[in-house]
Amino acid sequence: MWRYILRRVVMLIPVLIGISIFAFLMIHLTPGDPARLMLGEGAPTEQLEALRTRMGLDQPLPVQYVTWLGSALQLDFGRSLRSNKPVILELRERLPATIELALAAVAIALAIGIPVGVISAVKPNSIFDNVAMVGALAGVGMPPFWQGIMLILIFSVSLGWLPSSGRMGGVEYIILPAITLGTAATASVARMTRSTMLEVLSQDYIRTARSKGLSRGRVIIRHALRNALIPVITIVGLQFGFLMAGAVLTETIFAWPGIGRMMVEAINAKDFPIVQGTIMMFAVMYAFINLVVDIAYAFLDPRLRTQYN
Amino acid sequence: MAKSTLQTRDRSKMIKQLLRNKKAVVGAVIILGFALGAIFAPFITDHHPTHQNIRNRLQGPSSENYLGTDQFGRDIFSRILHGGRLSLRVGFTSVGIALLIGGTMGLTAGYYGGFIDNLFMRFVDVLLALPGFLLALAIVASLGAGLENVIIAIGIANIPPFARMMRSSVLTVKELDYVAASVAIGSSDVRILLRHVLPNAINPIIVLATLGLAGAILSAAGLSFLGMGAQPPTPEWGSMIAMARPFIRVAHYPVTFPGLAIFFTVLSLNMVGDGLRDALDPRSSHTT
Repeated sequence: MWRYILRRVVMLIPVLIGISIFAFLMIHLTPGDPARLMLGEGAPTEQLEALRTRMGLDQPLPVQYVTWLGSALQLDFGRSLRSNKPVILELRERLPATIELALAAVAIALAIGIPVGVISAVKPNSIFDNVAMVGALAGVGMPPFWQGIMLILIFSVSLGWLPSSGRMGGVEYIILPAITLGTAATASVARMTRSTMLEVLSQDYIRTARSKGLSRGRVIIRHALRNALIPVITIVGLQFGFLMAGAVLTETIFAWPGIGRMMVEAINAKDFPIVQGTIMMFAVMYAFINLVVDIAYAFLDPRLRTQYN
Repeated sequence: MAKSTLQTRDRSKMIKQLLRNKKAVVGAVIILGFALGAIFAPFITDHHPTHQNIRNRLQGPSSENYLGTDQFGRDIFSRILHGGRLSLRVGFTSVGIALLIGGTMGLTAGYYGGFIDNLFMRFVDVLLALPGFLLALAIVASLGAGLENVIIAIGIANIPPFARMMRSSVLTVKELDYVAASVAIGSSDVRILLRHVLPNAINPIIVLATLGLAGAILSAAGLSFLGMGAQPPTPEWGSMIAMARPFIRVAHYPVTFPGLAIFFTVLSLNMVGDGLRDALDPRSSHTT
């Protein structure tokens, strides 16, 4: 087991190096002089020179990269060009909001997706199943930015039940963003639960359990669902990554102060240190979640567990 | 030509199976409607998509403006039809880029193995280090806003599934006897790849491309919503929603209808993709 974990961790290193090269090169891929881009067209030459020296832009590219990576490894991504605060402090300030939102969305996805998937699988091709699966397909195709605005229109503007934006602490603030962010994940979980449940329910051991006299409900919950949920875990883990991506749009609509909105603001303001910091943050979080999912998967699946013990 | 009749029979069987799938048929009809609307937009409506008429702004649906007018008094129906052209173009070109680059990478990686395989697959791993939409956003952020850059970004972000799928198809086919026979009679690599490997991979590619088209249209609309894609006054669905949003308390039509256009396009493409998967690629089950 430990060897497996170690191997997975080692495999992450080249990937993260690759992403760090991309994040570093971002400034240089942008057409034009990076210093001028950041300071604007009319900036005086002395200021441009000062910024170039401060950011090391006068050094050769490989030297710049190694310096940048060295600092990044110590969580130093430089300072925001707008607020002049260290990027890592800004990230630390905004990260809890994004994690809170993603967890709320996952909770919705599991609470709705699993029961819907199970019922659909138990009664395949029933009216419930058909409606649920078309609904799930609709959930996958829903543009989150539009769905968010429609929810605001209905529940904030028309009905006045829920606040339309911000994060002032109350539960009411997170409901609409979490639904918006969680819709696609709910749909994926429901589809995945249904297909794995269908597969498990056709297995011999399910028939055995039924024929030894166990009730249908007990077999479905204790025998089938337990096994069907293993692949669902993978989907939830992957969804967590997509949720971080979706957070970019959702946070923008609901003025939710997370790192997704921070990234969009930074892109628009050409605040490259922040953009680089958020990209690295997202990449590390995504890699970590995938790692945890893989390990959990290996741990939960007895076949894999024995293989590595 | 026994082989070709067999293939035709297979194909007609698949088409029959596809036509029995109600979801796929409904999806195909909707997407065909959007495509025709986009192609014949200038013949369907007299309203120019960027013609402003401030005195007639934010009006509800009427016999003159079927879906109402936006914040500049432009006809929403006309803008949605013309926006369909952009969405379809972005979708097809970006999936085309992904298919061409990803497919070639997977094909060569799987066939030659060794160093090339390692190099290409590590590159794919790096692309997968960020969720697709975030990667596309990051690429657009460095290339600059604009529709061409959105196409490039979404194309690159969609390389991984095509590369991986193509590589695994090659690995399966490579071991088959008739490929070994083809090598033995001295066929060139290119001939083997094009004649034996590619035809075997074509079905999963069609499925992947259809679902990829849906995802690409959704991502492009999202990027344009964030202001990274088509710039005003271009009639693009995502940007229409973003621009009309401040007026939502006065009139919701300029936001509602473009959103429905995105929603139905993506939904129907997914329905067709699902149906194609059941008909063409029965081994892979519903995973997403």
